[in-house]
Formats: sequence, structure tokens, C-alpha cells
Amino acid sequence: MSCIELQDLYKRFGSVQAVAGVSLAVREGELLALVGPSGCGKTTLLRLIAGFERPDSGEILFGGRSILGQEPQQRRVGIVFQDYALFPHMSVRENIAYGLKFVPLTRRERVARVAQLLHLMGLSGLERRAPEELSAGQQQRVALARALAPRPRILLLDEPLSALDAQLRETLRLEIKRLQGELGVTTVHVTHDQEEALAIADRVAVMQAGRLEQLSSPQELYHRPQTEFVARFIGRGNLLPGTVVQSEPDQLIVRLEGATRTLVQVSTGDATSALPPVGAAVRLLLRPERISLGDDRANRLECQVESLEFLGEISRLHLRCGAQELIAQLPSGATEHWQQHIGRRITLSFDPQDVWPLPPSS
Amino acid sequence: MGQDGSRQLTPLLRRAGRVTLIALPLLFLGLFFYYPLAGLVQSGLSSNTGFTLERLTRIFSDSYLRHVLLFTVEEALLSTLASVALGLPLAYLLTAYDFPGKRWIKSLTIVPFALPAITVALGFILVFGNNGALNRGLMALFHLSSPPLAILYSLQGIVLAHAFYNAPIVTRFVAAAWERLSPRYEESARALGAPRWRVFLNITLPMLMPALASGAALAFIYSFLSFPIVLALGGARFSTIEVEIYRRAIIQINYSGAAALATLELLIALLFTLGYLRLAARYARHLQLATPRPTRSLLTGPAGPRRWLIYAFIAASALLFVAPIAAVLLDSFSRTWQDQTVFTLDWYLAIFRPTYSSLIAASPLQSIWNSLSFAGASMVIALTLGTGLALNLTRRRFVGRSLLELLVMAPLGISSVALGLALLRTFVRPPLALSGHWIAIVIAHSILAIPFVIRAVRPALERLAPRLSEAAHALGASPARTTWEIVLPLIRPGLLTGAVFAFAISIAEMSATIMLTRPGLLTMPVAVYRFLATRQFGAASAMSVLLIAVIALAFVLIERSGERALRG
Repeated sequence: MSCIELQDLYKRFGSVQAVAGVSLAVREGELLALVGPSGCGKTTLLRLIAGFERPDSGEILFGGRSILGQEPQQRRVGIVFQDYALFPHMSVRENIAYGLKFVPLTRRERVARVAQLLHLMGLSGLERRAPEELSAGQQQRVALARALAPRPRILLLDEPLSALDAQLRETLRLEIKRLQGELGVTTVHVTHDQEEALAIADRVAVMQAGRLEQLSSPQELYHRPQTEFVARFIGRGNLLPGTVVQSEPDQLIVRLEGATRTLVQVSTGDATSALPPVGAAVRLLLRPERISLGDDRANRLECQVESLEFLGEISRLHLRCGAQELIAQLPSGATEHWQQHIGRRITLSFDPQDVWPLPPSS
Repeated sequence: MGQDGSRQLTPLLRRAGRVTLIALPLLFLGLFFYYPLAGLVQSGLSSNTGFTLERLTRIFSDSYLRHVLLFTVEEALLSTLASVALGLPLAYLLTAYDFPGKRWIKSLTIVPFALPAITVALGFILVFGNNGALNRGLMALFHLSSPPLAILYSLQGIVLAHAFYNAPIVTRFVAAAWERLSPRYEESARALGAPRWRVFLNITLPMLMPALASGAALAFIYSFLSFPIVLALGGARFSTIEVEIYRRAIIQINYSGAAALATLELLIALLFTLGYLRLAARYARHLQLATPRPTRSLLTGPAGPRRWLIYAFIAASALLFVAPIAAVLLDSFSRTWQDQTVFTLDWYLAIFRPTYSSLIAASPLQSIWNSLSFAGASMVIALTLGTGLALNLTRRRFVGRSLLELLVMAPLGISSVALGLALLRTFVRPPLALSGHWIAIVIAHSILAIPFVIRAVRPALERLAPRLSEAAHALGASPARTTWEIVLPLIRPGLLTGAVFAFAISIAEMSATIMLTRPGLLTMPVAVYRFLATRQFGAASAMSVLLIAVIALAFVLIERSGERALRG
């Protein structure tokens, strides 16, 4: 059942079309990540849901009912901003308790709810502190506790991790995921960090220039992107241009462009979208970690090893096949072996189910 | 060998230069500010037998003086309230709404600061007086035989005039903080379910409180120390400590009585100023990075009662702010004769007359000439000394820098009448027998202007990248040459602003001047007051218009050169 539905939303600020016809449904209890480059309209979408902006056209439904007539304070949304916006003149306890003033609760229930959240967020003992006396991670927990206290219908997170350093960001994003799972609160998480989106979301919506590019599970998004933008934005990938020479229900044969004239077998499996017809130009997405440096797989390519990058956990091999540049990923243990291959020609190979056809960008 | 000689000499010269840069201003302030004030306080706290609080306690036992004290506090409190009541909504309008002329109104909030208080007092008399525009208009409209509003020569009149002066201060402080207040706080509160009025009460107002308190504290200090307005609008019945000091010293020639009162006033003002500085420091700490705040247009959208309320407020404040100035301007060009108002240039001809006028006990032309030359001289002195201090306060860290800063900025918190009295007492006897000399007045004006020069020059110096001086040193330029050829040209806009402020402060100054003036040393503001006191409103208006025009010209100069500096 869908909890929140956005129908054909448009919003323009002056000459900027921030949101251009977005429709999507957030399911009850899920964590939906809204991801895209800065300026893509993801934060505007969040502010439209919260009610801080009014759409130029379109509809927003909470549980099937329009809430466009409601002020932000009537919508029962919880929101955590990038800078948390903790009230600096209130203690931790007062911050968390603030939203409970507007809910019909007895004093005892309020005290109990605050105590429950302090416990849940591991903030017990800090309730008298002022926000400026807390670490960044603690501030973020207070902001979450404050947003959750009045039991919102939906939790909106506006890049709550982007102000933190890398290590803390990873710890806290796991915490958010755990908490969201335990509480089952429907959540929309805005971020520009695709890795963060993949790591915590049940489903990910990718936005670009005010439009929704794709909405699917993290795995689907990574392995079967619907547009070249998504393929490039999510993870790293090699895009190989080519022409379809044979199209069957479960597989394609593609001739790669350039000097190689290689035929590639593409397994499309149970893909639901329409397959490109014979003669269509396509780009094949091949993820670096799916490349086998040997001739043990069905599709083979002759390449020249150009350079090698050692990155710690992994290493990257930069390859060239004619005009086409490719990146292959290696376990770092293999680095020294491949170091000796720089400048040499090698054969790489990959399985048909590890390539994915994209329509060429217009 | 010459090489070696200059090598030994340069550090010495450098040292001498540095010492002069700081010693000269300190000597000046020491001789003409701290020494006279010490004398004043000493005379307030001593009798023939030595140290005593008797003179101060006698003030509290005198029922008339007790009344004056209470009235001063009362009018200052009410003026502060009125300034907040007017300034806070204005700050809200400037922050939350967009309307045509908003930038214009924003820059207009500096106008009261630049207007000589005595001209504002004149404007209030012309608008709100018994025979003023408002009462005459109401009488004509409702066929009344007597003026319906007795605003003038009352507490209300004083409070209204102080609100005219200080509401813009409150507005500037609050609007600056409001614009920097991240809208995320209010949005968080609304998302948590708080209705608009609760958001304002629980979130916005507490977060604006440091700014509001700073603005209100300044409004209180200014109202507490206000002299020309109370002197002109208070009539015979209402007197504040400032006016009482003037009366005792100049009219009753009772220096020691005046000194006791001034000592008490200095102590009270010192307390308030310290309080203000603490608030201001807290306010500065709360300033945040600006997140753009959403604004609503005043012109589009449905016209509800809320909007009508806003229009009414704008109209009422426009009346308060524009009417007095407009009245002065109109009055200077008109003469009423047998119920007919006609255009005339007579008043302007009168103020440019070189002959002696018994009404002001001087020639009006002489007062214009005096004002311009005093302002020129004060500008040169304040700019030189203030820039020297600013260079020392910005460029180097040293022990006691904050103490030095306090010492040189102290004239900001001083009552000008008390300063005038202190200088008067010092100048009547050796070693500084300058009484009756024009330099006495120029000294007083320079002291009052130095903090403003520092305030104008310092930000320019702080914005200057230290790399520039370092690059010049690395190329072989001495510190003196670096200052002269690199630093000073680059801070020219700041210097110009400081110079104009010094000029404007001197030419508008009346409180210290009236204590030190002599028949040949009359200035324009004192002339305005004397015309006013003898009910020569036309001549007072013409002189006021001239005074305002000169100041406006000076400020236009800043504006223009500032633009040029930005473009260049």
C-alpha cells in the first residue's frame, strides 16, 4: 500500500524549473532514497512534501487524501535538515519535547516519550546539554529524535549526513537504516551520495534536471539502469557503443563500434522493458568488477594495458581496445602481477548476463 | 659604510614612527579626554576635606533632582519601548516581504543617524506643535477652535522624537540578525506541528533576542543621554540629567553642582555601556552564515486584513519619519501673513546676512563659516589620529590591545554635555587655558569623531590581505613606505568614509559645542537652537535645511566613491 503519492508535480523558481512532472509513490514503511546531482530538484521535492513550497501543479496524497490545502504544521511530517537546525536556545530534552506540545498527550506521556527516544537514540545522560555542546553525531541523533517524537506519518531526511566526515557518515547511515527498520517509519532520504543511497535504501529514485530518471531497488538500479545518466551516476561503468545485429526474447547480439568488430552476446534475462530491435544503436554497460582478465568467459576482447591505479582495497587497470577506453577492477593482491603487463596486449572476457544494453543518449 | 649607517638607523626610525603613530593619538586623548574627565569626576567626588560621596548623595536628597533623575530614566525606558514597538515590525517587513522601494527604505534607516538632533526637534515642533501642521490640519478638518493634540512640550513628544532616532537602530540590528537566521529553524518547528504564532514566540523571537537586546540597549543609552531634543521639546517643565547639567553650568554658572550631576551620569552611562558591550558580544557570537530566506511580495496575492494592517503601519511610520523633514523644508520656503502662506526666500537671505543678529547673539553667516571650518579642522585631526590608532589596533597583536581599544572607543559612550563641561572646566585655567578659542570646540568634535574614524577604517584594514604588505617588504619597501604606498591607497574608501563621518559628526554636534561656545564661535546647530528658542522658525528652518544639505552632500560623496571603489 502506498503511503505517499506524488502525481505529476511541477515547481518553478523564477527561470529554473526545479521539478518537472514527477510522479512517484512511497510505500508504507519503506526507506526511499532520492538521489541526484545538486540542483536536480530532490530537495525541492522534499520541501513540497513537507509543505514549505507549494507545487505549481500536480497533487500530493497522504494515505489517498490530498494534503495540498494543509500547512506544514498540519501535515505530521518529521524533517531532519542538513544542518539539523537544533534550536540553540533549548536543551536536548527541550528540543525533543518541542513537537510533543502540539500533540494531545498528558504531561506524563510526554515525559515518557522523550525518555523513550533518549534511550532509543543512545542520548541518555545528555538531556540537559545545549546543542552546541554536542558532537556532530550526537547532534544528528537529537535531530532524528526530535523529528520522530510526535510520531510523524513520514520522516524526511534532507542530506543529514553530508556535513559529517566520511567515517562518521558510514556509521550513522547504518544507524539510520537500523532505526528505520525497527520503527518501520516511512522515510524519504535525500542525498547526492549514490553510495549512501545504495547502502541504506529499499528503493532508490534517481533525479536529474527536475525529472525522475528511474525508481527501483538498488540492485536493479546498479545492474539494469534505464538511462545512460543513471548508468553513469550510479557506480562506475564502461559504456561500449555498438549496433544490434540480432534480437531475440532473452538475448541480443551486438557488434561493437570501432576497429574491434567484435560481436558481443548479451543476456537480457527477464527484463521487462522492450528490447532494442535489429539495427538499433545501443551502449553496453559493463561494470569494472565483472571483467575477467582472461579468456574464460563467453565474450572476449583484445586490449592493451595502459596503466594501473593502486587504491588499497582494490586496484584499477586502465585498458584500451582501439578507440575505446575501459576500466577493469582487480583485487589488490593481483597488483604486482599486472604491473608487469603495462604496455602489453591481453584478452579480457565477460559473461553475457554481466552486460546490459542502454538506449544511446539523445 | 652608508649601507651600515642606514641599517642601524632604519630600525630606530621605524620604532620612532610606530611610537608616534600610537603616542600622538594617546597623548591627545589623554590631555583632552581623560585628564578633563578625571578632573570632573574628582570635583564630583571631593570636597574641601577630600574624597566624599556627599555631593552625589545630596543629588538624591534634593526632591527636584530626584524628579529629574526619575524622569530621565522614565523617558529613556519609554523611548526604548517606543523604538522597539516601531523598529521590530519594520525589521519584520524588511525581512519577510519584497516591495518596491525596499532597498531605498533600508538605506534610509541610516538617515536619522546623520540628522542633527536639533533639526529633528524643529521638525517635530513644526509637525506636532500646537501651531503645527497636524493640529492645524485637524482644526481645519473638524472645525475646532483649539489644537486637539498636545503632543509637544510633553513626555509623548520627547518619546516620539527619540523613537524617530532610535527605531531605525533597532531595525538595523534586528533585520541584520533576522536575515542571517536560517529559515530551517522555523521550518523545523512548523514540521513539528507548531502554528505560526508559536514559531515566532518560541523560535524566532528568542533567537533574535541578542540583536533585539543590543538594539534596545543602544536606544536606551542614546535616549538617556539625549540633549538637544529634550532641550528643545521638553519646554520648561521637562528636564533630564543632561539638560540639568547644561542649565547649572551655563545658566547658573554652578560648575561644581554640574560636575556632581555629570559624575553621577557618567557612572550610570558607564554601567549601561558595559551592559551593552556584553550584549553586543553575545549578539556577534550568534550571527550565522546566511541561508537565503524566502520573501513574500507585498503587492501580489490576496489583500487580506493582514496586508491592510501592513499598509497602515507603513503609512504611519512614513508620517513619523518623513513629515518632520518635509515640514522643515516647506517652512524654510514659506511665510504666513494674514492667514495666507506664500513662497519666500527671505529666510535664506536672512541666514546669509553677515550683520549681527541679537536673536542669536552673532551673525548667521559667521556661524555657517564657523561650522564649516570647525568641521574641516576636526576632520583632519580625527582622521589622522583615528587612522594611526586603527593601524595599531589591526596590524599587530600586543599585550593590552583590548585595553587600548576600550580606551580609544570610550568617547562613544560618553555624554557630550558632560564632555563639554569637563573641557570647559579644564580650559578656564592653566595649563590648558584654551577657553574661548576655536580650538576648544575643534578638540571636542575630534574626540567625539575619533571612534567613528576607527570604525570606518578598521574593516578596510582587516579586509586587506597581509600578503600585500609582505610582498612589498619582500621587494625591499620599508614599513613606512609600505603604509604610504600600499596600505593607505588600498583603504581609501574606508578613509573617505571615516573623513565624512568625522565631518558630519562635527557639523551636527551641538551638545558639547553649546557648553564651549562664545559669541564669535557660534555654529549652525547652536544657531538653529537659538532661532528656535526665540521662535524664529523660518530662519531656524532655513539654517536646518542648509545644515542637512551639507551633511547629505558629504554622504552622497561616500556613496559615490564607494561605488567607484567597487567598480574599479
